[in-house]
Amino acid sequence: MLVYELFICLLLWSGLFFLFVGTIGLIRLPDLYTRMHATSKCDTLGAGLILVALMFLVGRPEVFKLLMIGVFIWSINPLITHVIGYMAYLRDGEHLPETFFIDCYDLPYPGKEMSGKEDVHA
Amino acid sequence: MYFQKKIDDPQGFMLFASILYFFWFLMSPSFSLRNIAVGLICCLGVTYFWSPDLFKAGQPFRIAPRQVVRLAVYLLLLAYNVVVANIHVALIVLSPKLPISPGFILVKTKLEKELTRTLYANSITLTPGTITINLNKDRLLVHALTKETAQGVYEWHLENRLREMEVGRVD
Repeated sequence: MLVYELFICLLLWSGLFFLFVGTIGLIRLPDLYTRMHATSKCDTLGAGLILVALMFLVGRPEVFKLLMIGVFIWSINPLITHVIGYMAYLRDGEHLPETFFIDCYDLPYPGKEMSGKEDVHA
Repeated sequence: MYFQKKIDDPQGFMLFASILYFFWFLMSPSFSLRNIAVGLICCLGVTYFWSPDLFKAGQPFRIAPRQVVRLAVYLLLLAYNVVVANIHVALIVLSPKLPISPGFILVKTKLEKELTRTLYANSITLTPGTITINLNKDRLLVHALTKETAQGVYEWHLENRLREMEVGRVD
């Protein structure tokens, strides 16, 4: 029984750790796109770990609800991230000056450096 | 008027409404009369309100059992990848020097169906270090946190898994 509770504690604390890392990344990283990396991703794993820990804690009917919450988080989070990123991209969101652009679309010359942002528009 | 619309597809309407009703009972606490009535009204109303948008099938798709097994294997591999890459991003964020080299990369996908393309784009976004900014036919614009993760998008083995699920073989 003690091992079981320790396991749940480990899951909860690792979920908290990833949420914490996401928040730190939001503060530390320099521009909008990189900040999105930290918040959206670490939130998915952190929330997922906490939900798994709660699934071990609660009774059987609630497990399904928690599972549905997990499925919704994991399917909606990439969507929202994509929308924010796309809008920032369309409106020329500021990015770091050393940001690179690589075009891997034309297969004979993979890794060709693009001259600028205009080339990316399909 | 938005509220005066005909139901073109009664079978599909009933299917959607019953799926919603089933979901309502999974979530609702008890089987009291009020619960049943409120659920029925809500499910029919929601399905009626969204009925012009619900029943348009873009490309017909049918699912073979083998594809379901492959999808399950794919989701497990994806979960493993998400955990590994999350630790990677956590190390980057927590390291004092902040070793990032962000950038955009434009890749071409081998996938042909809309469904698998969407799944692939969402998988890229779920994997930390990469965000799909735009998906236009077979062009994927991805923002990557470091140059290594950008390389990782270019030669990602999970795309082959999806391709295998789509056509039944790898090419």
